[in-house]
Amino acid sequence: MTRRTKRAFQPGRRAVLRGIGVGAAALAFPHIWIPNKAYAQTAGRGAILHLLYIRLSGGFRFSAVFNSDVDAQFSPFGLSGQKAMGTEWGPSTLLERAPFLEGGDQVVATRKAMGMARVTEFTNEICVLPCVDHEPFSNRADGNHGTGLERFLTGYVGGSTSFLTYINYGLQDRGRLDWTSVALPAFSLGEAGMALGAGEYAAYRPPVMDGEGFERFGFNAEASLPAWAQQIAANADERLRSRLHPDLRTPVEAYQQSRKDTAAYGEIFRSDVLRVSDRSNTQVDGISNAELIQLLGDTAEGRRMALALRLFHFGSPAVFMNQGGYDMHSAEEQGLPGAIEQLNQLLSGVRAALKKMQHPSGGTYWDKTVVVLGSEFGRTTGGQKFNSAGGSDHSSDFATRWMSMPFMGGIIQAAGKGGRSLGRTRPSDLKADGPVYSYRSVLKTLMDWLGCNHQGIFPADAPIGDFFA
Amino acid sequence: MTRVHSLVCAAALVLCAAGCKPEQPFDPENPAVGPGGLVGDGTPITDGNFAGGDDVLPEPRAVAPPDDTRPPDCDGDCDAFCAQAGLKNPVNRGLCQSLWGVGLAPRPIDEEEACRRLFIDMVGHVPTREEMTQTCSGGWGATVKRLLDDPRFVEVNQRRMADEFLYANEVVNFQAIYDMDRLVGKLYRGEIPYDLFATVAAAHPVLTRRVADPRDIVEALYRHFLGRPPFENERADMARLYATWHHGYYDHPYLNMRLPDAFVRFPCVNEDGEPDPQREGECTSVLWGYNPLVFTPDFRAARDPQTNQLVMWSGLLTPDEWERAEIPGKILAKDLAFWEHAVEVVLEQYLGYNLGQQIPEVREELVKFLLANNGDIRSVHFAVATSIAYLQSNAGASSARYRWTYGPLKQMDAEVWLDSLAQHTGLKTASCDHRIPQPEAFLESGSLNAYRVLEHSKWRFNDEGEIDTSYSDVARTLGGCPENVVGGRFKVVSILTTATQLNFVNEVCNPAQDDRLRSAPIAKLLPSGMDARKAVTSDLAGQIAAYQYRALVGHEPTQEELAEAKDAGEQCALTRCSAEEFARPLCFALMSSAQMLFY
Repeated sequence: MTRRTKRAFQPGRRAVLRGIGVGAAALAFPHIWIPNKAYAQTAGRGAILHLLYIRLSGGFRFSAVFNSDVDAQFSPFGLSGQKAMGTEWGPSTLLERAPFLEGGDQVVATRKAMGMARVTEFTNEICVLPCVDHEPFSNRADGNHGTGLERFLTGYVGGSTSFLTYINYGLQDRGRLDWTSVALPAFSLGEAGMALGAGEYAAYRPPVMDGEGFERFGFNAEASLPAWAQQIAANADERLRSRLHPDLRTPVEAYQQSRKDTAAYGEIFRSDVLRVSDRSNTQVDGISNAELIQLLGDTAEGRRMALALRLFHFGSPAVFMNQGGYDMHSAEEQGLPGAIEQLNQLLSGVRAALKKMQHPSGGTYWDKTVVVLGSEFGRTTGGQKFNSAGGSDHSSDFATRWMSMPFMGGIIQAAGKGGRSLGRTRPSDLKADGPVYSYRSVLKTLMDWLGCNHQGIFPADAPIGDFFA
Repeated sequence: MTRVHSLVCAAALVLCAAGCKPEQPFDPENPAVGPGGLVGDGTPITDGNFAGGDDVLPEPRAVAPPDDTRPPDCDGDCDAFCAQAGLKNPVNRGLCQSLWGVGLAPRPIDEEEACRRLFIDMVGHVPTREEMTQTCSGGWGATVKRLLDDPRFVEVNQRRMADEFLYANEVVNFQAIYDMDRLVGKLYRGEIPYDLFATVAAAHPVLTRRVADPRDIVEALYRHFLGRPPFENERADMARLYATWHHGYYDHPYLNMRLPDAFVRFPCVNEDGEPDPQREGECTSVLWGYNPLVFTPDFRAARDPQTNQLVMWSGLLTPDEWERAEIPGKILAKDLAFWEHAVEVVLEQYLGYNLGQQIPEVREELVKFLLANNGDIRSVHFAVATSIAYLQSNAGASSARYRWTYGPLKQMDAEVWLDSLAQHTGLKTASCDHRIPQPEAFLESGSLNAYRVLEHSKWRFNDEGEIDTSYSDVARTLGGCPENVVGGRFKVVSILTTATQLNFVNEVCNPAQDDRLRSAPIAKLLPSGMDARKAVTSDLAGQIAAYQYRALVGHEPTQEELAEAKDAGEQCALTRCSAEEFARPLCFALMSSAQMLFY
């Protein structure tokens, strides 16, 4: 996270008077309620410790996968007949696909033994919001990649602060977690757009991690450098700082301080736990990196998701990652099934991993984590199963407009919302036939579940209470 | 005949209309297509010799300098002093009344600090001492002229413009991006004036396809070229000139890719395809004169299956039609604020702060200078880079705390930092290409032509035939090589960026001599001919340090730095260390220091 100098608290005249007033009132009338910070909040406030937020990149055809109980023009692959008992929402046949569980080899056997299953076997653990809309009061959808993604990452077109930045900001008072000496902030794996921050939020921008792991953080100054070299490096920085005009020293001082801080975080960054590609057999939180890769797949996305789970181990409250490339204007008919197979493995694998992993604070990670999928918009075909190139596009209609977002995790099941559909769409034209949730409300809900202070953030959008209704 | 065939035939007709120049239908080495190709014939609009490069600077007027609490007040004597100072550089002329004329002195600068700064800002890398000696000679005017003529000056500004316009091939046809890049190249080679650049950019698919809504396009245009959002009446009126743009896709006949691109639609015509008097107003701007923009459909138009409306691919527009679509740019270029913003951007680029807003006289002089040089934007770069505001030291306390009384300090772009480290140490690295920030789609298409586009870009392939992202992974963690779909380049000092930098320098210098690292060849870290196995002594350590300061940092070592290195050599000698065992940790110490990050 970026550095910000903390200023000593200096109450203004008004604050002092207000404090005196409140104190006097409390002494004189001890029964009077003195308001504290109040949030519009849900019953699930503070119920989770981790969020895994996955963007299905490029615009995702939700109705073809997570809202398939509609006409064929929206759901060309059809509704699955194998959905788990108690599933209200419409999983498509694509969610049945599981080549990672087929065959008789040892890997498949291990995966099954660790709890992996076809997605259609656990659809009753997933809650879907069929109609999540960027702007419920707008007269049409935003099908533009640039602005759609701006809305997805920041809540607004031209938004200057990203969702993860809000999370870090909202958890600034979280303090040190009890199972590590240093708690990592929220991380964005490969998406700089998720790390915007302006004004008072600037200091809380999440680190953006490109690549799949911390393998390149092998450097340990104390171990690699002789003392004289460490001294020359420190002297060089200090010489530059002292040579500069006094008004220009701040960035160099920040760099000097971050070098010191890097040493403190270095132990985490160099930890073998974060080297997921090493496929270590060492058990951490009840699972090894080798097992994680086996579950999630030895692909860039599988390794990235494994890294996300390991960042949770070090206290990170949220990890964002991109998955797939669904901007299939052509050849979607052939390409989407294969792409969904990889998504299925990730969903099945992360579910199995979370249920197996023991959280340092007690219970399993499944109990304390929510996995959420979204995208910048849905996709449309203009009345056909596919467009003229066998793909789909994005325009201004309902198919583009609705993000049918799945939520998965212990909190969903505990709230009795596993398999539930919060809202529905009319099969013939995808018109909403139930509640429509603003996307910003979804983000605020997730912040609320994480226990973030979201005061002043998305002020016109309240957290969604329906998960606990 | 399919729609693709009709598009190709129509494109051929349009090309004939544009002059029947025989062109290949698709050239992977030069795929630019768009209105940028219609302007500039390769002839520079000025000779590139600008005045004011070697002003003889006056001594501060002998008066008590002002305090820092308010802007300096230049009285009659001050005005007379500045009028007689003989300054030709427009920045110096505008600055005089807030600097020398009121008794303030700038910070003197040495050649090394100035030359290093000029190299980083103008050609995008940290110079070695040798490069400095070769380039920074014959006065600052001649030096800056040399750097302006360097092709890397154009590249630096092409990358900067990619950041400004947020090039993203996921959102905009990459051929349009290449075209915009070509247009920017013309601007910075002095082949087109700045107002013509803005005029073309105002209707360019890089803008009209990037931004969704006509009103938002107007806002983006205003921010790019006036530095402010439009007032509501401006937004509403000018949006009518963008009502014709439509976001669509076309199947590229040679790439096996469906590409996003700008299309023209026909909102103000009747069912017969003729201008509809009842609706013409929706396509007409009246705030800056009567400016209608009504296109009518012809054989080039096709029906969009999504909207069921007639649309026409922008690649089929004729030069005349492009010119009509560019009215918004022409409108803005008539506004004085347009020129003021143009010079303010350059001031901020070099100084890191907006001197034009702090001292309006500087802005005024620069605008006059730019117009006197036929709108050649290089003249403003020349004027700022040779001015006292830029060529003064950032070291030591100044006589006052006015921002213009001491020099700039900036953080390097990630690519500048990475490229400089690699170049100075001989490490081979990959690269990224600002014209194709998302290259994966090209490989996924499975088309040979798409592969050839990548092959001729700045992206590199690894041994497995995949795109080598080793460079972009590091650069993106540091804020460079932006994908630009949301947000863009950032510069920040954080734990993760610092850890990334330290690890990259560790990989380059390899202080622990780890065989697994692809480190710099030792010959690059030692003076020419020095045996890497030679035992280190105090003197040898001094020689190695002197070499590394000059070759790696681009800086002549001070006595203090040399003495420090010799002491270190003595400590190293206690462990019988070799030249290599001294040179590699020293490389790390120097290359990881803040002096390699800030300039």
